[in-house]
Amino acid sequence: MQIVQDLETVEEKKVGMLHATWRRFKKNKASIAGAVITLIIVGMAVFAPLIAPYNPEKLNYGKELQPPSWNFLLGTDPGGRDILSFVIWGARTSLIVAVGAILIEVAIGVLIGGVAGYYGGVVDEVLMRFTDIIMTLPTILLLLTAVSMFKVRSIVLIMLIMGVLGWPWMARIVRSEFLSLKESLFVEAARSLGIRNLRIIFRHILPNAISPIIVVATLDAPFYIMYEATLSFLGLGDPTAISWGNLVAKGKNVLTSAWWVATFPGLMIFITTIGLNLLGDGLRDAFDVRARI
Amino acid sequence: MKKKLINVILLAITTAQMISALISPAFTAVEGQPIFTLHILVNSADSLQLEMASALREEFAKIGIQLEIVSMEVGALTDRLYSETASSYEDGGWDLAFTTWWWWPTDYMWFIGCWTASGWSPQGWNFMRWADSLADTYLDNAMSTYNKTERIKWLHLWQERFQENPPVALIYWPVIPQLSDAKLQKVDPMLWTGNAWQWYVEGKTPEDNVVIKYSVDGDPGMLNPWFMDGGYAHLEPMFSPLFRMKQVSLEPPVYEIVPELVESYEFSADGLSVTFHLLHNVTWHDGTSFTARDVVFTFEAILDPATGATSYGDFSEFVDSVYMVDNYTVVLNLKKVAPHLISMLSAGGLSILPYHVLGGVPHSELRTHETNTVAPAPGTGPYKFVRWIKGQYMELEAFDNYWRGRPFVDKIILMVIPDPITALQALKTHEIDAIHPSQCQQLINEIPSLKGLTDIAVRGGVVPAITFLAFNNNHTILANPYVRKALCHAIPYEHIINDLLKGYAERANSPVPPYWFGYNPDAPAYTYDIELAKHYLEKAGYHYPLPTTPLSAYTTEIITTAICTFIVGFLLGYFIIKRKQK
Repeated sequence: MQIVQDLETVEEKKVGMLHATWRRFKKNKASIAGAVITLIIVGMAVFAPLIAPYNPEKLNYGKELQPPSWNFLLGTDPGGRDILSFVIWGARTSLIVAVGAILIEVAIGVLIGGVAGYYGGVVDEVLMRFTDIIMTLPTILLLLTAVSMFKVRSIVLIMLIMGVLGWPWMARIVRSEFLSLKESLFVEAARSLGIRNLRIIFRHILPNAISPIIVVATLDAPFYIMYEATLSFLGLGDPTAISWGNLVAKGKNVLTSAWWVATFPGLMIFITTIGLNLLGDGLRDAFDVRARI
Repeated sequence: MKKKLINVILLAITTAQMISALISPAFTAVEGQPIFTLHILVNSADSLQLEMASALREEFAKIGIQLEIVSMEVGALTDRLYSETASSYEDGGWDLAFTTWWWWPTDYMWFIGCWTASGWSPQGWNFMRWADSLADTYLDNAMSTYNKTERIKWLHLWQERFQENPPVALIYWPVIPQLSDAKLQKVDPMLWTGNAWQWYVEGKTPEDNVVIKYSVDGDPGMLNPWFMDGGYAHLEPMFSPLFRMKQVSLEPPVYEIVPELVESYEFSADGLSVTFHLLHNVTWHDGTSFTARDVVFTFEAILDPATGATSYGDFSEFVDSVYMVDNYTVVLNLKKVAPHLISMLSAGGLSILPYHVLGGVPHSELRTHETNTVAPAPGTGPYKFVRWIKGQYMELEAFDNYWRGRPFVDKIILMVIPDPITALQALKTHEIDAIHPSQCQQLINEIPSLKGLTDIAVRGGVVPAITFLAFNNNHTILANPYVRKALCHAIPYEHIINDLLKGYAERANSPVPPYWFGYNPDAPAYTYDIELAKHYLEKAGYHYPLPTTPLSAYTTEIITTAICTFIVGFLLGYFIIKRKQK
C-alpha cells in the first residue's frame, strides 16, 4: 500500500514541473501577449455589468445607427442599443459558450480516447474508426446541419451541439497519450498491485496526460467562439442573444451606411481568437508537447 | 475534506449564477411580479420584427406585462399560428405575432376569409380566431350588393367596429421604396413586373436594344400561373388575366382595376350573369389568335377540382358555369351576387392559358404537365419566354405582335440575388437596373446614403398592405377585449414608424389601405398612451400599482456579479496564502 500512496503523491513533483513550464512560457513574448489579451477578455466577461456604460438591451428611441460619439463610444445599432455595452456583454456569451463546449468536449474526448488507448484491441479499433468517421465530416457543415434540425434555438443548445460534435480531435490526442503512458513503469506497478482499470485510467494516467488536454482545449476555444459567431451570423443562432455574431449579422445589412455596427464585434472576435490562439501556442511550447501534437 | 466540499459548493453556485444570467438576460423585465406573461413569435429571418418585439418588451413591461421573445423559422411559426388545437404558446400555439398582409386583388371577399368567423383556420386566414357577429353582418352586407354607396356605408361601419373590438393592433401601412436606375421610368412598387410594357428608359429610342435586369429573391416555384403561390414577378410579363391593376395616380398612390383582354362587359339585370366582349387583335406568343375558346377552357379547368388550381376555392364559390356565345363573347353564370368579381378576375392565378396547347391535356394532369417546369406555355403578355437557368436568371424577350404594340424594353432579365445588400451593390455598379420591392423594403437603412447618387432613383409610396400585431383571440387572457385594447395603447407607434422604419410607413387606422375603395378615414386609431393602457387593464380586472421589488433586474445582475467576484477573489486569496504558509 505504501507504494500506492507514493504513486498518488506525485503532486510534489508537479510543482517543480509547473515552475519549469512557467519559466518556458515567460520567455515567449507572443504567449505573454496572448495571456494578457485572454485575461482582458475574461475580465470583460466577468465584470460586464460593472463596466458596461448602458444596459445592452436598452433601446434608445431616436438614437438608431448613431456614429461613435462621446455618448455612445462605439455608436449604436439599428435598434438604438449601445454597441460598446453590447460588445462587453457579448464577451460573456462567447466565453461561456466556448467554456461549456470545451467541458463537454473534454468529457467525451477523454472518456473515448482514454478507453480506446488503455484497452486497445477491438475496443480501440471500433472507437477510433468511429472517431475517424466524424473527423472526415467538415465541422462547420456538420454543425449547420445539426443546428438547423431545431426550430427554436438557444445559446445553450448551440453550446451543447458544438461540444457534442467537437470531441474527435481531443479523443485522438488522449488516446495517443494513453498509448505511451500505459506502457510506463508506474502503470505496470499499479496494475501489478491489482488496482482497478478505471482507477488506473483516471487516477494514474490521466493526471500525467493533462498537459496536452489543456493545450488542445485552449487551441479549440477560438474555434468555438468563431463557430458560435458564424452560426449567429448565418441566422442559425439565437437572434435574441447578446452575441457578437448577431451584431455582425445586423451590421452586414447596413455595412455601407453604418460601418461601426459590424466592425467592432468583428474586431472583438478577431482579438479574442488571436489571443486564445497565442495562449494555446505558448502553452504547447511551454508544456513541451510539441512533438506529440 | 469538509472545507473542500464547501469550496466546491460555493464555486458551483457562482458558475450556476453566471450561466443562469446567460440563459435569461431579461433586463427589461417588469420590476416586480408581472401581472401575466405573454410570448411573441418573431420570424428569425426578419430583423425588423425582432427590433419591434424588443421595443414592445420595454413598453409592455411598463404596464406590468412580461413579454418573452421567441424567434423561430417561418415554417415552424406558421405551423404554430395555424395550429387548430392549441390556444396559447405553452400548449404549442401562440400568443402574439407580427404579420404583414398584402392586399389580394379579390376586393373585400378576401376580408371574409381573414376577419370573420367563417374564415377561422384552417379553412380561412383568420388565425386570430376573431369572431364578432356585428362586424360579420356589416361585411356580409357589403358583399351582397352591387350598389357602391351602399357597400361603402357598410364597409365604413365595419372598419369602426373593427377598431372598437380590435382583433389585432394595426401598426402601419408599409411605404415601399422602389430602387432603380434613375433613367428607368414607370417601375412600380405594387405592380412589380406587371406593367413592364410601360417601362421606358430616358435617352433611348425604341430602335435601341434596351435590356433591363431586374433582381428577384428567388426562382418561381412553377411556370404555370394557375398553380403559383407567389413568384408572380416572373410570370406577369408573360401571361395576362382578363383584368389588371392599374396605377391611376402616383401621389397619392391610387390603384384601380381596369380591363386587359376585355373590350367591355355588362352584368345582367339580376346580377347573376356577366357577358364579356373580348379584344379581337390579341395573339398568343406562337402566333395563334386569342379567342373565347381559351377563356372558356381556362375557367372550366379552374372550376374543376381535379385540376387543383390555387384559386379553385375562391372562384368556384361564386362562379357556376361559363359558356361561349361566339368567338369573342363569353358569359359567366354566377351562383350568387359577386361585387368583387372584376377584382377577382385580375388575379394572376386566373391568367388565361392557351386552349390549342393545353386543351388536349386531362385536367388532372395539368399540374404535372411539362409546360410547368421546363418552358411555359405561350401567353398573351408583352414578353415571351427565352430561357431559364435555375438559381441564376430568367430571360424574357419583347413580343412583336403584342396587341398594344411591341414594348419599349427589348429584354428583361430577372436575376436571382437573394441578399438585398448584394442587389444594392449590383445596382450601384449598374449590373442590374431595378430591385424587387420586397427586397427594397429591407434596404431602408441604406436609403439616406443613396441621396447623393444621381444615377439611382428612390420612388414609391404606400402600397396596399397592412402590418399588424396579431392577438390570439382564443387565448384565455387575450379573449378579453379590454386587454387587447390595453395592448393596442402600449405600442410605441411613433418609434416604430419614425425610428425603426425611417418614416417608410404610415400609421394605420384600418386594415383597408388608404386611397382604396371603401377606406374609412374616420375610423379611430389607437394612440401610444401608457396611462390609458393601464386604465383598460384595470377595467379588465387587473389592479395597479403593482407590487414592486426595490431593484430592477439589471441592478440585481450588477450586484450579483459584484458578490460573485468577491467570493471567488476571497477563495483564490485564501488558497494562495495557505499554499505560501506551507
